[in-house]
Amino acid sequence: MVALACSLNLLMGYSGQFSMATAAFYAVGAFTYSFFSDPGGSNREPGSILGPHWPWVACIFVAIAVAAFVGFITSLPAVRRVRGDYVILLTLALQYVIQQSSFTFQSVTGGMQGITVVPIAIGKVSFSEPRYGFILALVVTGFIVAFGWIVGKWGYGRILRGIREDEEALRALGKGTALPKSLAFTVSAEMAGLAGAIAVAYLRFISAGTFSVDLAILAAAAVALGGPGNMLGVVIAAVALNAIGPILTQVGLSSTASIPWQYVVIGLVIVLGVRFRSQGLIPEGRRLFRRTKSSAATALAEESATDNLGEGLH
Amino acid sequence: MSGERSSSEATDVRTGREVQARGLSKSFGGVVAVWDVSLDFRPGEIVALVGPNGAGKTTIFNLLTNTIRADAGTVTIGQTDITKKSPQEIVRAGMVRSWQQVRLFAQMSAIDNVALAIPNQPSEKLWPVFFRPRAAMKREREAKRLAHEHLAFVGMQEFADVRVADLSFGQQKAVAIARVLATGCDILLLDEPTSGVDPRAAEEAINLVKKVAASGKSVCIVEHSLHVVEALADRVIFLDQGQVLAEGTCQSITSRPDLAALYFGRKATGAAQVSVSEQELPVSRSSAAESSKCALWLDSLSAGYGKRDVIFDVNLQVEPGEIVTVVGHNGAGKTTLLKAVLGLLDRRSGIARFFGQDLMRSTEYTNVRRGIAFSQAETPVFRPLSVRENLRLAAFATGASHENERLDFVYELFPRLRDRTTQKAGTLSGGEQRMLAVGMALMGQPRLLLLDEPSLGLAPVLAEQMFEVIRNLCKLEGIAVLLIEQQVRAALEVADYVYFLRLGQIAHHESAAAAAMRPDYWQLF
Repeated sequence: MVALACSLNLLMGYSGQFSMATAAFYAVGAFTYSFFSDPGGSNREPGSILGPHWPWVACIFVAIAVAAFVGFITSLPAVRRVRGDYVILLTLALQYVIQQSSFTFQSVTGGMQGITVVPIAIGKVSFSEPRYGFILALVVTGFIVAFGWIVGKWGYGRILRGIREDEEALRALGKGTALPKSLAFTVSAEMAGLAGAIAVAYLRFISAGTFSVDLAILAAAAVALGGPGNMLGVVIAAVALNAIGPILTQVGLSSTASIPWQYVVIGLVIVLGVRFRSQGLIPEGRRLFRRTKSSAATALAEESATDNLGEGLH
Repeated sequence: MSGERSSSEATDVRTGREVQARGLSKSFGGVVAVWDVSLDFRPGEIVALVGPNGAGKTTIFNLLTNTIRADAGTVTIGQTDITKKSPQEIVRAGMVRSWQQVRLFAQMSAIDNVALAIPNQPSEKLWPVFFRPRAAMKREREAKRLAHEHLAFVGMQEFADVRVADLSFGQQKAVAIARVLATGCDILLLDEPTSGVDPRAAEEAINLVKKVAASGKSVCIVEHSLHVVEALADRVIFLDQGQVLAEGTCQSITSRPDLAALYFGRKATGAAQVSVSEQELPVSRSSAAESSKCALWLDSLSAGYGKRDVIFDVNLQVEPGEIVTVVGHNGAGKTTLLKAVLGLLDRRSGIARFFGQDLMRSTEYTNVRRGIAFSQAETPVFRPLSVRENLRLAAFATGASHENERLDFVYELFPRLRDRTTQKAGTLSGGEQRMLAVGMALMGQPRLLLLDEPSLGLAPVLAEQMFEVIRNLCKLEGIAVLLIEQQVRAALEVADYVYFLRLGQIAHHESAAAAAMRPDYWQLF
């Protein structure tokens, strides 16, 4: 979830391209992994197309590559023709296409019944066990977060944020915007695909119902709540949103009863977030631990702005 | 010998970077915006494009940078033909522009705004970040250092980490110049570098542009303030209706009576050569005690948009049955003043009263219902509605009674509107739309009429009729009028009193008759 939110943050937070297809990219990664690693187990329906049963390392790379390719294809209309709200529609359409195909092409995906998936294992350590799985998830998420953070902080992130603010002005400064934009889709899809591959390998099971629009919306909510363009805020928000379910079961609700309440709480959090922190938990460009200093600088600027307009010029 | 050679090489480089535009033309749906314009920019020289609104100045910038594709004509930088190149490629060829509305990346810090413009950054591509992270990091630091240098050049280094949205408009303009410089281009097109900033910041900007030109870059500015043009420009190009009318020094342009007439209204120099002392006392204006009798009474009103202050400490009175006009160059804050009175934007401080009623805290629609009418210069009518629907809508919005009487009243003022009563407003000519807009303002029986450019787009004859109507409204109906007009001469003829607005401040005020006697009244801008 954290990884998904981070992948979306790159796209939505920095470059301002709203995407509803995070779950789709996630699904693409997951299914690619499950297909290419498929040993042809006994649980498959007759007539299933069997994958080549490659080792897991190769499968992960293939999963990333396929997700990246889908992301790149998605970006093509978004880069040139489709703008603003229509990007949401476009990605939403992609989401449904992928979701529906995962139900329909049972021979590959296993449909609703699902199929078992080969876990990632090094020697005797299977990362499907919670203990090791957690470590693996942490490492991969850490990698995705770190990559997203560095990319966002340096020149590339500047370009993406420039695209978000004023694409035409950016072009007039001599920067191409098409390639960075489609790269943003591609990289975002790559990250989501990687997360998907790791997740199914951990769960050892994949079924078509997992990758719904809800997941995409939850990822978008995490970005919006955490502060678009701010990795730390997004990570915190993603963890918090995901923790709501377990916390509810901890305080005494049965797991079936907690599911509707979970959505109530998420809705409430989003409403409160929008009302009181419309810039997100940690607004872009501010750091949690240096808040005081940077707000002092802002205050300084405001003071001089009202007092003395020309002061800064000389 | 060698010294001579190097100097000749230097001149080669210079002539090599000359910008030549030949025969640029562009029309938008039948309206000619730019027609057969040819320009040259030379290194180290500051060229100013001046001319009335709609002369095509900004369009020329758009054509030069290919933000809008020209219908005809060529642009070359040195030996390179850039006519068909994309905006990005033109920047790489060395020409960059700024915008009147700044267009900084508002949510980003000043330093990031500038760093974004620096060319050839490896960290902008993902490949080097992934596979040569150390080199990318080194170049990233270098870019930041460069950006800091550019910020320091415009005196904004203290504000490097501040979000641009939190800076004042003057500071934003400085950051915008730093951003333009950071592209490394040697041909800079600056669209109104001083508009919307206060006088002191404008002075700073002037010095900044001088400094930039002195470093050997070619600079072209679009500017409405003659004061700025005079201070900066080596060469002035005067445009009207998309064509170059004249070219020369600032002195030679401003001394030509025909151009002054075009820019400042007809008959500009027809006035008698009577010298009036600058220090002449204004005719007595209402004092604070009488504020309840004034239709409009402003005491040190300041207002602006967002972070940007546009008008400062404006004192102004309009009495019932009086026409007061506010003149000034574009961006001086005239329209802002009207909007501030009505409450369409943030009023910072000061007092605004309408027959003694406080306007500062009330919203625009309560003000309209109290009897203030505002006729806007832009988009004045609802295009898909018929003429009558427009007028009825205006009556409804003001909560006016006797709707049919008012309708007849307006039709009597503008018989042409009666003929077109069921016609869609969008299909009317520009002049008829203007009449309709004024008619709409009158539907609510206002006691104070705020008119923004009522003669805009009107042919001279119609314009005169419009002023006649305004004068009658005022004198016969006792309506107070606050008038803004590009045609200063005409405005002075119709008005009783005039305020000169310069860079958001009242520079001078006197009776309109006295002002009209001045041969050089536009120097008061």
